[in-house]
Amino acid sequence: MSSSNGENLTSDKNTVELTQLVDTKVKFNLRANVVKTRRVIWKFTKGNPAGSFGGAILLVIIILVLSASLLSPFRFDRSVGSRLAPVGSEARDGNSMVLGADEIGRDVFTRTLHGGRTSLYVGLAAPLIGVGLGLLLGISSAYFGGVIDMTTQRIVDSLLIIPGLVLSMVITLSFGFSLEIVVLAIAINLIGGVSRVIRSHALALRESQYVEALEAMGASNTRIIFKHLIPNSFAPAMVLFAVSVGGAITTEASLSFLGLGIAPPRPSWGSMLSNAQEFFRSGVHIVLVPGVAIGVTVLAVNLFGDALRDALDPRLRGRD
Amino acid sequence: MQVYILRRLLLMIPTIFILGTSLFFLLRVLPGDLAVGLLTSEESSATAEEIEELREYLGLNDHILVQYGRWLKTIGRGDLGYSPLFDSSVVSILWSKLGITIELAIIAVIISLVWAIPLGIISALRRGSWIDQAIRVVTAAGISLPNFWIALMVLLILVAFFRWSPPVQYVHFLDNPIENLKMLFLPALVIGFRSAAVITRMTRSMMLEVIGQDYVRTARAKGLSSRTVTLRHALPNASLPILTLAALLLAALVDGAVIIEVIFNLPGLGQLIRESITRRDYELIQGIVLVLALFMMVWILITDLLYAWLDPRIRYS
Repeated sequence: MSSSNGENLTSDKNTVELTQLVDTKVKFNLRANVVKTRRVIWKFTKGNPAGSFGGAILLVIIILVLSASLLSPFRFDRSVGSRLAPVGSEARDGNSMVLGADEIGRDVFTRTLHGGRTSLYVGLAAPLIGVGLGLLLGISSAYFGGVIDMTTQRIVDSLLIIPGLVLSMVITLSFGFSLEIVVLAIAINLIGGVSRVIRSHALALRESQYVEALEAMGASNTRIIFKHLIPNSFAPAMVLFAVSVGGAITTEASLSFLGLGIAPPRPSWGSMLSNAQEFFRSGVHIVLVPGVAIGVTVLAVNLFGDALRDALDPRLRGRD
Repeated sequence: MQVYILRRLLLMIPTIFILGTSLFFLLRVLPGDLAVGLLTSEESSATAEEIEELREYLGLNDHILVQYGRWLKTIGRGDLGYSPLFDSSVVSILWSKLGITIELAIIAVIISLVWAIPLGIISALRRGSWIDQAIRVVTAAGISLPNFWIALMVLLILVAFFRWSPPVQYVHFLDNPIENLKMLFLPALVIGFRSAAVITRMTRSMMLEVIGQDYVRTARAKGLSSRTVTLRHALPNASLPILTLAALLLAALVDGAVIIEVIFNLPGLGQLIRESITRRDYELIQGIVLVLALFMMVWILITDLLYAWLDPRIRYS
């Protein structure tokens, strides 16, 4: 843990003492960090009961979805029972279909769990990519200014005025209905809004004295952007990420519902609803189950995201 | 002011150009086009020669840059092109479908404003009470639940308990206003639900900020009734951000319309968007998106100007 600088200046004995000192300090810091983290979580829970409730539900959903193959004996793409079998009826192999079967006899519970994987994957990946690209675009737009800023802002304008769902539909139609394309199609909608917010944040950073000092010291543009501006824009980026997850899940479901999302056999809550639409007179459960799954998940994500925003964005504290 | 408006209008040109061009090339990335879609989508399937003939006729065999040049020329004339799918000009198709969606959007905005603003005010004035809590739960749900889910649940309830089903044939407003409104009320309610929830939350937080200020206390001290204080003094000052938000929500309404019109079987712009995209009618898609984009930009400009008009402290130059 001793620095090379320290080694040159001090004798061996001193170095050993110094190293021990640093080590104990690190240990102490580690313990302090654990205590601090625990305190932060406790404070967050106390201040945002609704947000923590959302977070807890989200955690349960993630665990359920990840252990899909342990929880259900069926495969999501095989017909295992009679068509539209009601809740709790028996499958052909004798196992119970907890939430009934869909219009071609596949187990609804299994499909809902696997559909949740799709939703959560898209819901996390799309905002990650969208916020990441928006962050880069916003910061470079603010940092370089001039023609670059002008051009980027016109591109951002055109991204902002086109209805998001329509753009996503065009993209999946042009590039295909794979998981990756759907993620990109949803991410691209986020870039415009994110880069606007980050740009205005970075404009203020750009004028700050430490950036001026860095420039005077001869730091390269890449260094200033990646080592200073991006880390300093982390809090707003985090907030933007948290509030985008719910929307991404909804957009994925909408795309699948319109038949322009991820192609079968991979289940998605949106496509389950879309298939169920024609049959719901004969079996309410096939609409209700994926519907409730979407509703509960997005609600939990939004409660958690809002609380995170309140906690991270001091300007909003005390409001709402 | 005139210079400002002119500059904003001029800035629309590059934006529209970028949007149109990227959309043009985006749509032509993958093989497979309208010629196949037109001839093979129904029960009959066409021979390769027939498809090739139609492709030649529609000009789809030309080099992509030639097609782009042709399209630019069309746009330059102020035209939006021709839709082989409907065998008519894009402008006339848009004209016939736009009415339904605009009517739907207007009803949605009216319904949502009518209940969102009063609820927001009540929620702010009775902060922390059970009614405030209830309103916050409903708005949280309104923001979270996807609108097509709400639409399906509404349909489910109506079908299961009232034996009602969505009408098959659309009735025009001028033919039968009452029947027409009955038809649009539910979809408008569903589309507006989310916007209403957002507006309620915004109204609440703006009102909370405003009613804590000195001038409101002064108005109270003067002996004004709490109704006058709220409606004449607090609300106008809280209304600016609400207005901006309501304007921006219009884009969300279009997204909502795409999916809600499909569920409720309304032959508006939303259905048209879905149909043109799935059938790959390029010029129609481009036309719709450009018109929507232009509409949005003009709309945002109008709200910006309205902002300055409502709040004299804001000046554009």
